[in-house]
Amino acid sequence: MRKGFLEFPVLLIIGAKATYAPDILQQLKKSNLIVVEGTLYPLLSRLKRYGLVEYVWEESKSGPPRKMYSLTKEGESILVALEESWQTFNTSINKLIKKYEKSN
Amino acid sequence: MKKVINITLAGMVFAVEEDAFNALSTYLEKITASLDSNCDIEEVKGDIETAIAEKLIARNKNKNMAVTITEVEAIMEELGDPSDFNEGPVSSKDNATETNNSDAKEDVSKRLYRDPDTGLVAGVCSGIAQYFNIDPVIVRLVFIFAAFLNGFGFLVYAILWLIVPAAKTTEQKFAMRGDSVTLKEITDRVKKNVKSVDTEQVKTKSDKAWFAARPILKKVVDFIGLCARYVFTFARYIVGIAFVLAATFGITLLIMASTVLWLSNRPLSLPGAESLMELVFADVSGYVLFISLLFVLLVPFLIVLLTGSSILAKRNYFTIKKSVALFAIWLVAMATAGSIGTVYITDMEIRNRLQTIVESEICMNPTCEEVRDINY
Repeated sequence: MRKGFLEFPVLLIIGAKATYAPDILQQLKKSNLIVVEGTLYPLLSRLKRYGLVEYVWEESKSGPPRKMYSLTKEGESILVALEESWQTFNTSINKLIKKYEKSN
Repeated sequence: MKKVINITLAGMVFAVEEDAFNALSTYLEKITASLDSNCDIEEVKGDIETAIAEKLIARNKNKNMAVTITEVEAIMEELGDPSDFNEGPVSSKDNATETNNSDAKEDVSKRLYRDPDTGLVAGVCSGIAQYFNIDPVIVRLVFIFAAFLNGFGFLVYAILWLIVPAAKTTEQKFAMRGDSVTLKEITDRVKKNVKSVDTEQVKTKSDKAWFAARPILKKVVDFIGLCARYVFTFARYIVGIAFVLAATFGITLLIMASTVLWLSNRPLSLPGAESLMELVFADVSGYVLFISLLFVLLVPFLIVLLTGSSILAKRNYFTIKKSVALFAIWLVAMATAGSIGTVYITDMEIRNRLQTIVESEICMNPTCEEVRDINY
C-alpha cells in the first residue's frame, strides 16, 4: 500500500506549508502513512530531481542548518493533477465498496 | 570505561562511544549501498546524517554526553532498515517491470471513448477532450456553438453518443486517456503537459485571456450541459415510447388483420378481394405465401419494438444471436414471399390475358356487332 505511494502525501504536506523533513515525518506519522523514516530522504531527493520540490537552507538555533522544502510551480500543477486522479480513484473505489457492502 | 570517537554529523561534533561508532558507520555504509541512482546519494546521505544529528541533539547528546550504542540503535530503529528506504522503482527487478510497462504503454494505443464519469450529458465531449488532450470546456463550447447551426452540433452529439462506446472498465479508461497505471508515469505525463502549457502561457496573451474567462465559461457550459442532459433524457423517453407504441400498434394490427383474413372467407367488401382470397387460400403454397408475408411485415415491427425498449431501458437488447435470427427469418420470409408472389403474379397475368382474349372473342359475337350497328 505504501510502496510507491508516499510521493502524494509528501507533496500534499509540502504543498500545504513549506516545511522541514522532521516536520513532514511527524505529519506522516500522525496520519499513519510512514513506517520507515529513512524512506523520506531518498524520496525528497527524487522529488527534487524531478523538479517538483525545491529547498532553501535555514539556520537552526538548536542544531545543524535545515532544508526548508517547498513546492515548485511544476510541483503545484502535478499536485493538482494527482489530487484530481486521486479523487476519481477514490470515488470509483467508494462506489465499489458501497456495492460490496450492499451485497453483504 | 569506553573509548570515544569524535565525529561530525552535518557539521555538528558528537562524541560517540566506539561500539556505537561502529554500528553507525556500518549503518551509513549500508545506506550508501542500498540507495539507487535515482536520487543523489551524497545528498540523501547528508540528509540522513542531518536527521541523525537532530535526533541526537533532541537527546541532548552534543554537549558533554557521549553517544552510546543504545541511542544509536534506537535512532536506527526509527530511521528503519536501509534496504527498505527505496520504495520507488529501484531494484533491477523493478526496473525490468518498468521497462515492461513502457512497452505495454506503447501497445495500449489511445482510443476514443465516451467518459460518463466526467461528462455532462453522455461524456462525448469529455472523451474527445481526453483523446486530443485538450480542455473539455473548449470541446463543449464548440458543440454548443454548432448546436445553434440548425442543431448540427446536437445531431453530431447524438450520433457520437450512439457510435462511441463508453469507457467502463479500467482498461478502457486508461486506453481513453492513453496512459498506464503507475504513479510515476502519471507524474511524468503531467509534467510534460505542464511544461507545454507553461511555454504556451508565456507565448501568447490570448491564453491568459482564456485562463481568465475559463471559470465563467465553464459555469455557462455546465449549465447548458445540464439543460441538454434533460432535453436528451426527455427526447429519449419520447422517442422510446413512440417506438414501442408504434411497434405494438403495428403488431396488433397485423395480427388482427391476419386473423380476420384467415378466419373469414369474405373479409373485405373490396371488389376483387374475394377472388384474391380464393386464389391465395386455394392451396398450401398460398398459406406459405400468407405466413411469409406476415413475417416480412412482423420482423421490422419487432426491430422497432426492440429499438424502442433499448432506448427506454438504456440497454442494448440487440444481441448478436437475436439480430442474426431476426435477419435470417426476414430474409427467408422475403425470399419465400418473393418467389411465390412472382409465381402468383405471373399466374394472374396469364389469367388476365386470357380474360381479355375471351372478352375480345365475345366482342366478335353477332350480339356485339348488333350493338355496333345500333351505334352507327
